[in-house]
Amino acid sequence: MKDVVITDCACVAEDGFGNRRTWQSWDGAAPGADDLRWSMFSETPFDAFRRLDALCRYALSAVELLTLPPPAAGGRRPDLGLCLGTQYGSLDADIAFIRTANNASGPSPRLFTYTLPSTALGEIAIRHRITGPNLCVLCGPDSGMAALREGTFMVADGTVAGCVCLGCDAVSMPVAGRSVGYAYAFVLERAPAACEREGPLARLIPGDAGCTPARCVAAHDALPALFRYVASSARPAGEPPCESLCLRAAAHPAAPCLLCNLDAG
Amino acid sequence: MPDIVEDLKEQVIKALNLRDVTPEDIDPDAPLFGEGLELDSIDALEIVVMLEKRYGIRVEDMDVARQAFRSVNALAEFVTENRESCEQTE
Amino acid sequence: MRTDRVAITGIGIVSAAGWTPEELWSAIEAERSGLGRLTLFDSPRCGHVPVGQVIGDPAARSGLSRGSRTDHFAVCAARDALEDSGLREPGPAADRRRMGVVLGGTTGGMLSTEAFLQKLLLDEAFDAALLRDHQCCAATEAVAAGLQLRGFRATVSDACASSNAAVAIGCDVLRSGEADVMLAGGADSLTRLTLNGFCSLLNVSHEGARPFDAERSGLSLGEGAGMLVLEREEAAVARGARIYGLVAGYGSTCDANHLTAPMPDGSAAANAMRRALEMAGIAPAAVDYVNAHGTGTVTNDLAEARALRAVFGSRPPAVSSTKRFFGHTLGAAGAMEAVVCVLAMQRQRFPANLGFRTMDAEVGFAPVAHTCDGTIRAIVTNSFGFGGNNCSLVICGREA
Repeated sequence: MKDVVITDCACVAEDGFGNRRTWQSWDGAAPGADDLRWSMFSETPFDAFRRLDALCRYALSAVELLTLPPPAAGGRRPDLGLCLGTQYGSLDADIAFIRTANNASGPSPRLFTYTLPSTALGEIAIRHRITGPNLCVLCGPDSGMAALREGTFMVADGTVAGCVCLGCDAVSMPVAGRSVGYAYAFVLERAPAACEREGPLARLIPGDAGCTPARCVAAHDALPALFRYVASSARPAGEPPCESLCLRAAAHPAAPCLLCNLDAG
Repeated sequence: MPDIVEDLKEQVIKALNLRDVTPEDIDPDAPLFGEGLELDSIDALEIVVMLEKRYGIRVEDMDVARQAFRSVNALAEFVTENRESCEQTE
Repeated sequence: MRTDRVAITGIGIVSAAGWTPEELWSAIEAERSGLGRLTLFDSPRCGHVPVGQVIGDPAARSGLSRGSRTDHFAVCAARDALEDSGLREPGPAADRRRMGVVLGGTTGGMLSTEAFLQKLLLDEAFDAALLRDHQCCAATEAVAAGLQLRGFRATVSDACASSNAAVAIGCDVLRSGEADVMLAGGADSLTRLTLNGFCSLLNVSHEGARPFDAERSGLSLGEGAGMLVLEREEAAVARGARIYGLVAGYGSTCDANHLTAPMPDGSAAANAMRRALEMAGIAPAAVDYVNAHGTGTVTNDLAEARALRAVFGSRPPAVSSTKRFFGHTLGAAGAMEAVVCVLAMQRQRFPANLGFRTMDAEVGFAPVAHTCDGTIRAIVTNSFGFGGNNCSLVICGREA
């Protein structure tokens, strides 16, 4: 097993947006999916952004804020994987599509592509020319954690040198009593290569590292907690920096944690 | 013909959700795909859906579509021809 | 980690060509297609396209008191696979927390969602309970609960590559020691959404899919479930299990090119096969049979043919797409075709590429025209999905 480190993280969420260096809270209320502007996240023009569905908009915004490992010759990234975890997947698009299919205008082929949550991965892969494995997992509230876990294994066993792991949801319907919109993204890399480029931020150790469940952060809070842990700027004032963080799946409260993040780099 | 061209511009903008594009932005002779509006083959399929809904023209062969969807003017020509043939058969 | 070999010790299938591996194999021997008329729902926009609809009452067979059509398929195939492996009743000493499940799927309980939507449209009432079955993880939960698999649980939604990716994850979980038994597979039912969607992409065939044929005119949708019981080879041998073969390798890549169309040169698909073979330690020349993705669309089959030629040279091994037997079952396709591969290896017979008549010069080779004898030690099976997702598995005998 190879050492896996987090080299960057970014989020577009209710409390703010940015990467580990640029995170800031929103100026006023958090914008909804329709109010996300590409210019908030990037200086490179991307006209098609406004035509993407909400899930893609959140996912692509967060990934745009990341510093990715440099591409190989030819501009492609064959040694980079991509994992998305999403609880509600393409629910909004599913319902919008069924509506178009039932009314006079007929089914929309564009909307059909968005009824697959993995379309967000396709859009990211195309934009950043990521040609390594990509994987979309749905595991209820553990989805983001599951993506992080799969990405960690992919890097640890040498399948790829790095992996972009995302937890993302965008649902306008009141699924959890209200609408939901967020994306958390992490870049995972193998330790030696990443350390040469920039200091690693946190080491991920898959599996049970002997911690007690009481110390673990449950999965539905895991990605925000991990983000705050890595990006100290996102930590609420007065909250002391923690030395270690353990993450476990909410669906298996008795199970040992799935990812232990022991070193603050 | 001019009416169809204007109508097609509006329909294309609506069908393809081109939020920041106005009918004046579309050059009727410019290629619709690959450059200009940066449309792709899924947009071409959206136009197929639009043609059936708006003009009652069914396109089932993408080779026909590729020819017909070269530009807005080409599209207008295609609509005129096919609408006539529809009317004749009715 | 990656040194443990993973054995297949049980299989289960639900398809338009049969409810058991034996039924499916008789259809393959008789070269009888399961494609037929859609009676599950009306499809006024799509006309009478043939589909691989599962005949019979899934709810009665699954015995579940609730759940979507997809859930019923998944539970039936999963139960049969566990039964087949001898692990249905693993004994009082067995730790069910060491038995996990990972499934691929794309539409989940979409048919139930349509009821939710009707309610939403009619009286604007938001009834979240109706959405319970919607997500594709509902089938995973139904299988885990119904068969008391209390360990690792995950659902993959990677479009049509979903269940090949699920099999790969199942192997990883065994290798990392997180579980001792993994049920890996996929399930998807026919829905209005997928039928309308594929029709809007103009790639559904009106005469039924004819993969790799010069006159192929599109795909045919299907439904069903396929399941594999996976264990570490050593443990399977120790308990005296019957071993069908190994999942020796898997490889996954992304085209990063187009959301729905495959990359014309098939280069990323070729890399997925190469990665899988490399992991298996098997040279392309040692591959005896390829179960192709072969949807029957003009673009997929051509791109896949180019990928096959890139990996295997101008004379590829025996190739067939078995999609005309039960349709393209999307998230279930990879696992169902993995079951076909296991049966082919067990019987040492190449399954026919049903629907093939005329060679396409651009494809450049003829697939297996009729089910026939062959020596099968190593198999590559492909699944490619929207988003440019390619996932290949290598299935082989223990001595390959």
